[in-house]
Amino acid sequence: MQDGLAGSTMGMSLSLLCILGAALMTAGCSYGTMPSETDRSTRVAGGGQTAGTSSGARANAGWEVSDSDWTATVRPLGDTGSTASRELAGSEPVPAAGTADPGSAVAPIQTSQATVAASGGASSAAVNPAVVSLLNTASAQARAGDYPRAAATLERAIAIEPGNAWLWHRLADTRLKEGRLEQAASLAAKSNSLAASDRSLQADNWRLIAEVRRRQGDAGAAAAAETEAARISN
Amino acid sequence: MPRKTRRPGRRKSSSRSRSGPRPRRGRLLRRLLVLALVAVTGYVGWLDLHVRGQFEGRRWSVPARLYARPVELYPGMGFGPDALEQELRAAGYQHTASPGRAATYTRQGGNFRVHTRRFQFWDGEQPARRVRIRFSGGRVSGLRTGDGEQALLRLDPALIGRIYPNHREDRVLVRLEQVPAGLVAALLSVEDRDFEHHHGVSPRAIARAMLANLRAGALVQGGSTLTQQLAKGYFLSPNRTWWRKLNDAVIALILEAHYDKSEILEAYVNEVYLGQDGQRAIHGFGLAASYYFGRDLDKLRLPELALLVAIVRGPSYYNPRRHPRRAVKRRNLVLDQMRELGIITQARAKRSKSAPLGVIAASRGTSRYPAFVDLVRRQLRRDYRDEDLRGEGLRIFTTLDLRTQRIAEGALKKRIARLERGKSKTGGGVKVELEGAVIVTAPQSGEALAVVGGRHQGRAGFNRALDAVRPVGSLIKPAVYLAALERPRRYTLASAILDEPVTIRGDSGSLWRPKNYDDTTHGRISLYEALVKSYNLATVRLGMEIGLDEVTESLQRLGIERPLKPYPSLLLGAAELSPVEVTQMYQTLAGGGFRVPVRAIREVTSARGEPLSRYPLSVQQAFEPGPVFLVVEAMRGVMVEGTGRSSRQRLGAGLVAAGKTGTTDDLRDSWFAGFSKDFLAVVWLGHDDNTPAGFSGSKGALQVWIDMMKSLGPRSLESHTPAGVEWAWTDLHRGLTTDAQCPGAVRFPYMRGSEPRRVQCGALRAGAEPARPG
Repeated sequence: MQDGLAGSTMGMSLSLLCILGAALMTAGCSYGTMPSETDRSTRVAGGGQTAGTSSGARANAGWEVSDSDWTATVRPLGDTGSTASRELAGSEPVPAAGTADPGSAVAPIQTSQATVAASGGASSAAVNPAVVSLLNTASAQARAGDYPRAAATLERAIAIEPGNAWLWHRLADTRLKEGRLEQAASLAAKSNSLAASDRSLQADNWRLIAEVRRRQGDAGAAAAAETEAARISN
Repeated sequence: MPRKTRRPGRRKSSSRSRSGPRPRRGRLLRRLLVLALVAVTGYVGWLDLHVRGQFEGRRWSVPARLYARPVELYPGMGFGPDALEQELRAAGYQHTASPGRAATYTRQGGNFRVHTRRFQFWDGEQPARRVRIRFSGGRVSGLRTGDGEQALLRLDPALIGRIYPNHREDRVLVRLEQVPAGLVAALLSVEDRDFEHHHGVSPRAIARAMLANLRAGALVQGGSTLTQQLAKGYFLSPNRTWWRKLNDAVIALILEAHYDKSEILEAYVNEVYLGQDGQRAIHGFGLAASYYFGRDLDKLRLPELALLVAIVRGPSYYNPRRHPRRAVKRRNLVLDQMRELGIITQARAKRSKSAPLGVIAASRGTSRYPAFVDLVRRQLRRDYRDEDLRGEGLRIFTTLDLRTQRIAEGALKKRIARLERGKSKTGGGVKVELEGAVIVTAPQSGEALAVVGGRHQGRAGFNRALDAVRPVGSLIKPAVYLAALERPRRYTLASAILDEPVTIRGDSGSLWRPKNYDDTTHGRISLYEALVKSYNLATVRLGMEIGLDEVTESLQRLGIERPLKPYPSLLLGAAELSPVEVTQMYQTLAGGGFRVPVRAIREVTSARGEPLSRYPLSVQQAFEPGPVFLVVEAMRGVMVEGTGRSSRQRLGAGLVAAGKTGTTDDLRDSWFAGFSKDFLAVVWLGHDDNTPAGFSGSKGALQVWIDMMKSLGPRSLESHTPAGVEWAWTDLHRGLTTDAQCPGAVRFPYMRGSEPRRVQCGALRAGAEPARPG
């Protein structure tokens, strides 16, 4: 008995609900697009901001440390043209002294012992060869414009050396290049909280924060951060 | 009875209205009929949408795979050869005599030769490699491949579970091809013999079932088809009304109209309710196979399959763990029906009927790490879009560190057993099981390394690490002191506070008179001492001076999202939080005032390895580093000279760590939260029913924490004095700064400019009181 009743209503309603159903089913399912090509012209103005190493080699105005290798290579800024244009033109990366083979720098997991030895003395921050190896990988990834991967690699390094202020600075810089401004500023501040004795790294972090504020259109905060950077550098 | 008497009355009234000679009535009736038809049509339409949504939504067949965090080996790493071997085993590596295929290894003492697998990580494919790994002194001493010595080696990670990210519950979905033929045969012979032919509802089946039941004098067969049973699961209300039955019938017809028999059978096999494991409902034969037998469905033999089918009739009545006799009887009935239909021979039926039930004692989840997987599930739901998780065979890279998880599980289990033994010796008969929870994270990145939801590892059920919301006691205090130290003009660690009785009048006029844990008072003390020794009276006075709103705000900035009521009792931890919330709070302290969310997922990729979405490390500055540094300095003191000092005794003075104990009224909850450079761990112990567990934070949870740290081998906390903080030699007792060589002078950090008055040592010593050694 129930069957008959249910069956008759079924027949009538099925057609109606198919229309209704079709209308509802097709909605949704639109997939968000990936964020557009990230800004690559992100090197902070003021020369040498993105990189920097231990005392002597740390970049001053007029010198640019290759992004590819903060460990050792310092080269003069030959022209005043923006770094960004050079990056896009492909003249970078400049291989670092002792880097195994920049040609195969598509993120090999290890670098050769030579790299480790070469960079070992360059920065007191990175005494762990594993961290150096990850930093080199991250640099190669950043050079290729693959900032999410570079950031992921830096996170692996941070897992090994969580108190290393330099790694947090590199991550801040990667976020800046990705255009994640607020994260860049927070990470730079985090780096500063760990960079107790490294005044030049502190200054670099303040310059990075200044760049973030400039891009956010906050000239006052940018100037204040610049002032802080200058104060620490002196 | 009253219903029956009312019915004739109603019928009478309707017959009266029908007798009325009104043609208008007829039109009205027709209108009503049309209206009813529209209503029914609309309702059935709605049903159809709902049912189809449910049906389609549950047809994922390839579960997401969860991976542990890969081990990154590097020379100098504090990771022993046994830990490596366990890691390799967990990742499915085979021990062989000589290295051969991928995923094999040989070991001779501290020398390993490992042939790693090719593995698709989120950041690219890592080729298979042959590596020699050497250990010495419990550390990795060398990694060598054909290319020479390596600085770093990332092992391919262990598979820790399979889940359906879009499902609320645990499921083990099976495809119809994977379902043993015996199961289907058994199912159809007792539940729906007409399945292949009916259209959702079968009058023949109803008739036959009634006949069979009459003949057997018991409920042998059910009248409703499998499709109707499936329909039942699509609505939550369990009541057995005729309306409900009609509804099920309509849904069954809808299902049969849209889907073919094999689709319906597959849905049934995955949907059917087969038991209850605490709060977890067991749905589907796939999960039931692992729940009752600890094996995959396709590994079960006929008597076991027959038992699963027997349970369908009434999962609690025929629960094979609780009512084995009933279960055997029903299972044998299933086997008899199969023989009757000629599906199995008489001999086979006889053999199967004499087989034991074969049910395993304890339920096992689908993962060995149910509490951790639970956190992964929740974070997937929170942070990822539904449509992202719909893909088949997703790969989810988690932050679970197998070694840490193993150590945390072991430490909790062993210490709880020891505490219970000690308690039963002293006479307090153990009535309720002591329970506990542990969360371990990497404090700077927020990655969850281990989550333990209870003392019985691997058992799914109540996840205390996430869901035990309990008063936190003194764990709250750092937030009070942080709020004070953020006001350096008023408070330093050396500022004096009175630890004397205090009475606070509540809004309702009630009086609150807090007490110290040791029931004594301590007079005029420094903020440092008050926090280190966890004095309640001083803390309440301090909190009331600063203001409850300020303390609440400080807690929120530390990462507590739950709304907190600014009552005075909040100052002593009346606020109820879960271990994971406490972890979040202490992570902000360990992170120097930078908040990092606790996260269990690193990456999610598609089956082919394309990165789907990334959940990156993100930090947010919640406090200036200075005041947090001061609070952490006092929390280091807790471990040396305060309520956590047994840590120094058991772990040695070499390890620098910071932490805080927490104990609640009548020793109901025992808490400890503490961190080294690389591990932050929160431990809770207590009873599920909230009766007193009988342990303070120091006697209970802290001991679990110490046991864990002993095995983990943590690195000491580094002290990065942030900008704006200065150190000064301090006579803490008098709250003054003085000369370095002055007896009892201790170096203390201050926000620059907040240092107390400086007095020369001679002038200090001239005073009547001797300086108390720090």
